[in-house]
Amino acid sequence: MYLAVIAFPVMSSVLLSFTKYNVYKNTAVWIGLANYIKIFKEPVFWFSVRNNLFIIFVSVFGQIPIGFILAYIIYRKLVKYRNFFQSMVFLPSIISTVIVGILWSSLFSPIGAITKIIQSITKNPDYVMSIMTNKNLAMLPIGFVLLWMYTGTYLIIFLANLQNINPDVIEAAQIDGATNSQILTKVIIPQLYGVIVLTMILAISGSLKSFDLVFAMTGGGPAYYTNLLAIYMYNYSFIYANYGVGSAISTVMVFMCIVLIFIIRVIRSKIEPMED
Amino acid sequence: MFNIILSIREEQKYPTVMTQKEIFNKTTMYAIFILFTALTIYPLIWLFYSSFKPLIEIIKNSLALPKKPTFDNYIQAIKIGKLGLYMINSIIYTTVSTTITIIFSMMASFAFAKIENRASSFLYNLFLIGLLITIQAILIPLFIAETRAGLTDTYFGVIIAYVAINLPLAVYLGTEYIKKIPDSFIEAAQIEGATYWKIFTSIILPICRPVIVTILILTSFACWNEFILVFILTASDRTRSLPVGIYSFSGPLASEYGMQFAALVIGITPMIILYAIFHKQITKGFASGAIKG
Repeated sequence: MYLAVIAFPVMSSVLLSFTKYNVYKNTAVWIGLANYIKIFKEPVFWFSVRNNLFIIFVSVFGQIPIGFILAYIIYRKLVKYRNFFQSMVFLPSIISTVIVGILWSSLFSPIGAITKIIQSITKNPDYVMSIMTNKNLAMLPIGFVLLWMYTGTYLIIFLANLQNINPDVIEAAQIDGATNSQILTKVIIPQLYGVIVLTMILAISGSLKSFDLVFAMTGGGPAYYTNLLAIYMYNYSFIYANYGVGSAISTVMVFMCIVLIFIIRVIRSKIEPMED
Repeated sequence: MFNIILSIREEQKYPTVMTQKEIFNKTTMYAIFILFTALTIYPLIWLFYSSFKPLIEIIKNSLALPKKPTFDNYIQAIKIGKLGLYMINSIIYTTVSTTITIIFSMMASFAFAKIENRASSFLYNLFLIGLLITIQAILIPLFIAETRAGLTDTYFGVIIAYVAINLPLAVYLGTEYIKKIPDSFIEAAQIEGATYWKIFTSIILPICRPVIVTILILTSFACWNEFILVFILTASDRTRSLPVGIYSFSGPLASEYGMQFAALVIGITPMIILYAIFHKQITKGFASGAIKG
């Protein structure tokens, strides 16, 4: 069953991407790279690539570092009520992405709380929150919601791994007179290199496949400016029933994912020898 | 060296007065966490009280508390949005898929961890590859295959997809866990004449409780919140799940804010209650799932 549902489809997806497939007649005509050439010529494809890269950027340089800092504060017991704060930061990630998307799009909407709060702060009752309909800025609220939703996951991952570090090592460093920041950069972070690489891989593959949140928040609009590769693929396959082009897009996604993860592995192998 | 140890001990005993910089640091740290907490709670509270307001009040003054709380939105949302039916479907998908995933993954894990031959290591590696494969990569062929097999828009069609998607991580966690169980346990049982099935049910499963709980948490959350697969593989109200039902409120019903808010509250509440009860296990489960995934 596993083979039928996962392994076989991946192969056939790649094959499909080179064909013009007719789902009603179940016929596939080999057309070579035509599907790929078609999507590379479309500006929407490049918007989607740009937006996917933006999401990767937010995940890798936003969620991961913020998650790490929060985990570090909790780990070092620098604040009280740690359990409460930890649950609060993690809470959004257990809510269905579709619900989060709709919730935040209503918060950002003209009747939403954010608009009203800005109106009362600026004392300008005519202010209208237009960020969601501004084609150049519409990705920013999405980035914000991504931070809101997923930072907690990284907090949990880092916290679990920080707690696995042998406390004797840190005590030894303290006895040798290391300051807190030295302990952080020389003792703790090197021990977490593996986890950091892993979270980056998680973030990249997660970012490339992200669909639900943006689909529910903006549907890719205004005018495809927040489109993602996954939404692009969805539109081609399930709205226009053009499965060949859809498969070509998903093949591009898998390929991008492999390339980015490969790059991270190379960077990692460059960092690790420096440690010794 | 000894002096330094002593001085550290003394510092711990008699905390020195905080310097201005330390006070500043502390304030910043609390500010960060309070900000995150407020950002988490405020939208949820706003959503909750707004769902009891009639539409006119929401549009006129969306920040205010409801003047006359009303359940109309909920009644409408459940009637028009058929949320009751979707809720039942979600429960069916989640419980059946999670149960099958746990049974299959534990059986497979036992085989991969303790029965060594070429076929098992080949199959295990095949599952590991599954960890890296995204839903999008299999969506179109899966849809075509299920259409041709007549499985779209059936419970069975959704459940096999959910089981297959959740198996790789479950098998990985299970196998790594069972590998750590000493072989001597199994050998001792074998000497006493226990069958593989007996060993599995009376030795392996009880030891594996913690990892089964982790798999249970990860799989049930994944199934409950899943959207795109069920959205594509189902077409009628009869088989759709809660996230798809709630999504329909962002389409043609988007301006019916009251109903939309009520639907969101209905979707969020079960998760928040579960999280409040089991938050320790849930965060642990997510941590171990993510570390190893």
